[in-house]
Amino acid sequence: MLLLKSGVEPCLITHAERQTQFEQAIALEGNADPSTFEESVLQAAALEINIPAFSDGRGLSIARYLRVNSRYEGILRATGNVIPDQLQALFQLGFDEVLVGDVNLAKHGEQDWREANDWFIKNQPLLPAYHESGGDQQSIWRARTAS
Amino acid sequence: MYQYDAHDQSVVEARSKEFRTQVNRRLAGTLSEEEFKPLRLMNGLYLQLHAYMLRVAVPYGVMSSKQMHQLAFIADKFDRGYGHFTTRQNIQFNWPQLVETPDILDALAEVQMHAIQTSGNCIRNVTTDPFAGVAIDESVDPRPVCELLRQWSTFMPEFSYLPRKFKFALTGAETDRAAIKFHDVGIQLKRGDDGKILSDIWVGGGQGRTPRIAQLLKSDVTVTDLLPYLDALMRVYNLYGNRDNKYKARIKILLATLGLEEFSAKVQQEFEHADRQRFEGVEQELARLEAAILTPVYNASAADAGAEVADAEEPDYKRWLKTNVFEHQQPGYSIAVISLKPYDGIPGDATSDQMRLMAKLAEELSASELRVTHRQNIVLPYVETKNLYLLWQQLKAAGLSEANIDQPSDIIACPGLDYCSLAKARSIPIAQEISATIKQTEQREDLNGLSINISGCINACGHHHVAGIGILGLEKNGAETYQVTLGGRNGLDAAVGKVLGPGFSAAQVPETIDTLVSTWLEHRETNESFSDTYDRIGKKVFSEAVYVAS
Repeated sequence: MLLLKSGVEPCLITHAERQTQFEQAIALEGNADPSTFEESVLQAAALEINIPAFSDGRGLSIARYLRVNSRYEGILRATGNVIPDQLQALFQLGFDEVLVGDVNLAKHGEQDWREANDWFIKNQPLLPAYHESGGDQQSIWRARTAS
Repeated sequence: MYQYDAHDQSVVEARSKEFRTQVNRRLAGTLSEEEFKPLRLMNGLYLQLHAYMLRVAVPYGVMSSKQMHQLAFIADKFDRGYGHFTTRQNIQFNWPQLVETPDILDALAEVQMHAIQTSGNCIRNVTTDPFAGVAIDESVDPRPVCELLRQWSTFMPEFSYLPRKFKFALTGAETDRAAIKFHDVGIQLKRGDDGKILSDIWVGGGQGRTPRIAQLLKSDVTVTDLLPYLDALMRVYNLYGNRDNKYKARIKILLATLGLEEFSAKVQQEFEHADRQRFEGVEQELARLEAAILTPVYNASAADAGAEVADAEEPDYKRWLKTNVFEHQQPGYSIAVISLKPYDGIPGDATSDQMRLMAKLAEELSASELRVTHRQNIVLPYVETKNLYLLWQQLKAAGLSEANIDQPSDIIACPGLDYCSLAKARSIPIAQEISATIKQTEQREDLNGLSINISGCINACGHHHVAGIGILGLEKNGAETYQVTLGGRNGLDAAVGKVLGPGFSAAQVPETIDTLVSTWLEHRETNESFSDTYDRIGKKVFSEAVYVAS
């Protein structure tokens, strides 16, 4: 199952099918040190980060590092051990898509994943944050300054 | 104090709503306990020895009468009629039912409270000086910066799954009443020559099984740079902190592994890459908070009234004035501390009736505001000096007039084996026995300058490392045994206590403390603190007195 930040309906798609769409997608481990990534990695059209455990937040900082420090502009995909409750955080930090594998899908159920994705796409972020924007909604501090 | 706007309110309501769906999914079985655990922890819900425990945030220890009333209501409706105030200025309820926890969060949201990030591997409640805004030795009122940090650290998507928990403490005074050097990050606020706020950032302090005193990471950080700098620091910790062993996962261990220089260089490099856009408007936000955290309108004639009223010659009252009342910035006003350390009670506990009384007294005599202290007592920060006797009489009638603030019986004790699944020994009964033993000495002699803290295991939640006399409960050959440490300090002159010698049985602890206290009094120079005497005369004098005698 592929969940997209861009607002497209989430679709059922396998890992292999998605990989064929991005031949250059490079797989990275979610515990890697982003300051050591080679230039060839940073030039790839798509990067896939495999989160080792849902309680391991390194993948989130790796995404921010890639977007801010390395100015990476390609597609960033998360996969591995993530749970529906983390979808918003993944999108807020710069992931474009989350690929939910079969084991994960069987465990959490398609409905929970769809609901999490719907929250992000349709409703606004479930949890507004003070200095992080989410979806089209601006951060609380920015909203206060604007008002 | 700070009042929520519509944005703040929507944050706590959204979280309460989200948690209700998570509890439902847990009850339905689609979320396993393993997956539910970090989610419930981020909402302050622990699984203890006998039941769930809910920890409610009291941001930087400040609360209103209305909020205290609501806590009493929650204690009665959802718990067993009492709550426990903690060393991190929060309150815990020990007996909630899982299915009712979303209702408790709703009840909290009604009064601008929450349990967000009071546990879990995220940034916890920011703590500060309980005398913030009224302390005579203060150069910066830390509350606006605390509120800024509270907002910044709430729902940070990037830092919600850190290697381990993360604690901030701030002070803006000369005397550190927030133990900033024993926190993951301690911030000392001061004013630059231009009057603007600057921060000195200390990192890597902590207690637990490897106690460490924080090191100075960066001085004179401006308000504009503060959040980008802290953000960089958090990222370095999130990326490089140890995740293989939870006992080596705190930032103090990363700091020890990398060394201050390399750690500092990594943070600086991150800081230089900071996405400044995210922090635009921080100065305006701080200005908004400074304006929003209103000091009550002081009664100008208060300074003219005398402190002593006609029939205030009672010795108990005079003693209470000496130990529980502190000087205030505003002439005619005093800071009054209500002791939650009755000689036969449980340190930090308050019944719902006591909570209601404290709320009412704050309403009538302290601009409707209360504070929770690091030593688990309650502060009324705005009492007109002329009302102190009236206050004392009402506290006395309710059994809340114990005159022992900063005295040896003002003991910090963790819940210990009576509640906690990690504990190896009981803490509360030991505290009660010591307190009962020391009562007479304390009322006869001036024992100011001795603190006693008790932890029921090496995780050190009872802060034994930083007490003049620290007591650590351990299990040895199936029996509880208590190790004693001496000479700890938690102020700006921070020090970790040193082990006295072989441990004691529970029954031996009170007499051991008694011997240590009399040894101290025998060698003490005028007004000397226990740790000062210890540093001057050394461990041998104490160990000889204790071990030769026994």
